[in-house]
Amino acid sequence: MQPTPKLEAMLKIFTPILTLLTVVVGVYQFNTGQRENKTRELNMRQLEIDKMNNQLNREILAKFKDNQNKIYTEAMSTIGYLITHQDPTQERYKEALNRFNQLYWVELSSVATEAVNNKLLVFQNILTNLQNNDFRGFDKKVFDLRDAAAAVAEAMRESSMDYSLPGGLRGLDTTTKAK
Amino acid sequence: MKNNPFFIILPVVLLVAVHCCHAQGAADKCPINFPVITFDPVNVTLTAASKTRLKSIATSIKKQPGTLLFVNTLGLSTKSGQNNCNRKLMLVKTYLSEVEGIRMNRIIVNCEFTDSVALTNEVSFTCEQE
Repeated sequence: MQPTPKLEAMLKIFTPILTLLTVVVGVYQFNTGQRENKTRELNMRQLEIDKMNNQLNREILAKFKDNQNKIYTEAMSTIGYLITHQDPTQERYKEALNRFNQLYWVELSSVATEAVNNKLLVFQNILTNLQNNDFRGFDKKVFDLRDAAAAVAEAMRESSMDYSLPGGLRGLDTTTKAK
Repeated sequence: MKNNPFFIILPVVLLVAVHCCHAQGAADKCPINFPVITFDPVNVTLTAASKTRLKSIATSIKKQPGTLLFVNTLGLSTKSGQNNCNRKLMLVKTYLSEVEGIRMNRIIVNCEFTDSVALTNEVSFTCEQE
């Protein structure tokens, strides 16, 4: 049986269309696959970058906390000396006072949290007022100093337990933008 | 001579003068709250008016041995506020001591904290018996 000319004409039209459709679907599927592969690859890469950033953050945080703890420890020990020795004319006392002032104005400023700074401010102000008046009334003021020192130690303890970097990591951390 | 009005007025004038001087002396006795001096918030220096005021405070303090001069000021509760507070106090203490000749150990300086910027420009003075 011979195909009718109409059917033959239709077949002639549909065969290339079908072929074209097959090609289009193939290309589409290929592109989708490629895109998925690329996305997966990008996600993997992002994951690796995040992991590296995380690692870097942890390393920097560990260094920061290590430095912070060293400075806190020295500050607390110096404060301890200043509030328990009642002869400010002694050379050792003057040395401790000098060391505390160094820590207060520079080293502590670089690592202390706001809460620690606020407590330190109160302590250092009592000390400065005493220093400015040649330690007049030291025997009475020493109790205020001890209260302030206790508040400093408490704030430092809280700060030591806090594992967030003050201000975050600018330029590295994705959550904080570089200034 | 008895009828001379000069001899009637003179004792009255003398009486009034003595009373005034005594009253003035009493007002100068510690404890006194002296007038405050004001500093420029940016340029912390002693103005001519401040120096005049410090001179009058010093004169009053010198007249009363055994008294202490308390110099108080407020600073913002930050490290820089504290620094600024002490800068003013030291400026006043040094001036009173080096220029006006008041012994350092008679001048007690004190810095306290505030949150109001407006209050940080003034330095107040009081005197008390030692």
